[in-house]
Amino acid sequence: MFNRRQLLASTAAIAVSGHTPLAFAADKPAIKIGSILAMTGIGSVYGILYNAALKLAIDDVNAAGGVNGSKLELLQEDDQLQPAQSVLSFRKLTSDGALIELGPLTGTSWETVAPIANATKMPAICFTASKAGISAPPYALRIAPPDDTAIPEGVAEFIKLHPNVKKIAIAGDAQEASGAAGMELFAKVAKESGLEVVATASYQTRTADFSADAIKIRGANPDAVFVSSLGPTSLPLVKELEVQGFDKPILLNSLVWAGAGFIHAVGTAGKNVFTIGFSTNDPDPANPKYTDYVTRFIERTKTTTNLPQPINVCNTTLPYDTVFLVADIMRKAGIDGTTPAEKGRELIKTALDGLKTYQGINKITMRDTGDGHIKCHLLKANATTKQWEYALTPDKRITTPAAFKARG
Amino acid sequence: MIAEQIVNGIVLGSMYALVALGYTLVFGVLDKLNFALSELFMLGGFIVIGSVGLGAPLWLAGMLALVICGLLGLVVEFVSFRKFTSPDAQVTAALSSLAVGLIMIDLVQKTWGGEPVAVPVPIEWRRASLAVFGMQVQTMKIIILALTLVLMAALHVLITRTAMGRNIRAVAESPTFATLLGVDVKRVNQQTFFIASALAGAGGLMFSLRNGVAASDVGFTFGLKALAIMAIGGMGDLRGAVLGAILVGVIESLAIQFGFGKLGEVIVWALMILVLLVRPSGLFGGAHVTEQRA
Repeated sequence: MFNRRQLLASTAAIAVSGHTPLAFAADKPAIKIGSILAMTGIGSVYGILYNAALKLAIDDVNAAGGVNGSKLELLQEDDQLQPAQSVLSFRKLTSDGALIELGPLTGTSWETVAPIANATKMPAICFTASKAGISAPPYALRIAPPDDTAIPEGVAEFIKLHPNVKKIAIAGDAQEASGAAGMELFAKVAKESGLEVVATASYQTRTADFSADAIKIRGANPDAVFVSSLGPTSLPLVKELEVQGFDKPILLNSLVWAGAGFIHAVGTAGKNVFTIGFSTNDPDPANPKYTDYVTRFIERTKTTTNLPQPINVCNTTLPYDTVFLVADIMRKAGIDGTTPAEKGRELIKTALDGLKTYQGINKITMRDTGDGHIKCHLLKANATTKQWEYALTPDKRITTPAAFKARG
Repeated sequence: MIAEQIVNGIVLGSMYALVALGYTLVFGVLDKLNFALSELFMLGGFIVIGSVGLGAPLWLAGMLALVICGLLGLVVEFVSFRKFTSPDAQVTAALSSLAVGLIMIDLVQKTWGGEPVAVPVPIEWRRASLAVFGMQVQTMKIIILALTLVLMAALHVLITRTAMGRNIRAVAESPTFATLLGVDVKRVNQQTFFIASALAGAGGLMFSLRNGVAASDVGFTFGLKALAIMAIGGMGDLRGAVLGAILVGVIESLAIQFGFGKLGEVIVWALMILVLLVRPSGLFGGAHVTEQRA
């Protein structure tokens, strides 16, 4: 007969050898990972979407034996897209013993939480916010490509597709951090690209009526409009531009790509709509991991969420990659459910601080700013299939990335 | 362009006016704040989406929005205001109506999600326009303005020329004396809530038809502005609510045209503070209220 000690020893031996039976992962306490997402309120469509990706990743990690004999356990906090609530949620996750926090979603929340991550020595990874320059290494990293690389890359392809565009209008949410920063970047990139900005329309996150903005934009007679605001805010503006008879291209930054509602509600107004992103629902023969993820994620959201179908996978590969990145770090650092929280956090921070690239579903290059880089492309709305598609064929896409400094 | 923005502001203001009238009516008659009105405005659009989804034609869906919002107003009256009759229970009643409104938001988000939902209005309807004084004005805006004016006129006639209106004015003056004169105060309260809620629903209906989307958070934005408008126009004054709403709508549109859009709601609140500093009873408050109620 085996006694308990012998059983644990043989379990560890099997785990180390790579032949990890699933049942053995339950012998140790779970490793707690926190997440801050908007699960209710105006941003819930985003939160529910990313939560499905996080849970899929955690299920996959646990199904493969967990991490060093411990399962991953997700502690979920709902911040309702409110920065103040993000801070409270972050502090709660810290006191609840999470080794790392994933999220929050928006630039406003991320730039509030990131400094606190350093102050409290609690690692955090953001996988969505688009405002540049707000990550705070070594504890607070972002693996998503911020707008300072995404917008130049997207605008370059937009100009390639629309060489006759010379005059643009810029519209955006001046209240939300990512929206306001996107407006500034659009203006900067337009100037660098030789585009003239003939009108600027600023609004607020809770603006309900966009008729006056649309009248102003139409009156300036631009060749195209660049818009920087979240999906729920951008949608009525795009629809109002259609009503006002504005029949020219509209480029929205990645804030509308990530999410489930915009593409489903845009209707006929979507015929001239473009955004910036790095994936679609189309299979990628060169990346079987991605193709497999798309199939499984779509299936998962059909059965576990009430999100509008067909779902757009958009950037949900990033929360999935984040969980696997964290699991890899923990495995290599020898972290399991018995590791004291402070020690585990320090080990994770050290690994994150040395991270230069990560190859998951996406290939992520880490920048000296603590942000990730993934090459972005111009996407076009297909109002019929309710899907985002690449606007340019592979041979015409620009492969040169925007200028950035990678970690040395 | 300026003229077009002014017309746009008048149309926007007319939709604010419908909610502000609802607030003003309830406040003027019952001396109570019904915060759920904002969410009944929001519900107007979603009732249309739900009704059309169940197969109702658009005109019927619009009628249903008005009736259902009116009936929900009766529910709010029963749940939040019926039991709280003493003067010191006003805050409790207002908070209760706020809670009912939050429940409405939650139910809508559970049903339709948190993002805006497309309202099934053909784009041709929304894009159609007419030439007015050399300016292209969308037919939808003209219809909204006309409908709003009809509703306001009907409300005016109802309040000043009908037996129901006489009873409402009597209760507004003094519920105790009205009771002594044989007026059924409970029924008048219900009628007032029904009318105010149907007006809010009508506002939401028009707003969603014009914008092509219904959003669960729109009530908050419109409701706050409607409250400010009520204060600007004069608390409890119907004429002030209408003129205040149009003033706010026009100022907002012009502010966007001149590059002050990022100030958004600040403009409305700054205007309210300014008006109240100069005229503490609002633009039409004070003497006019007495005159109207007399």
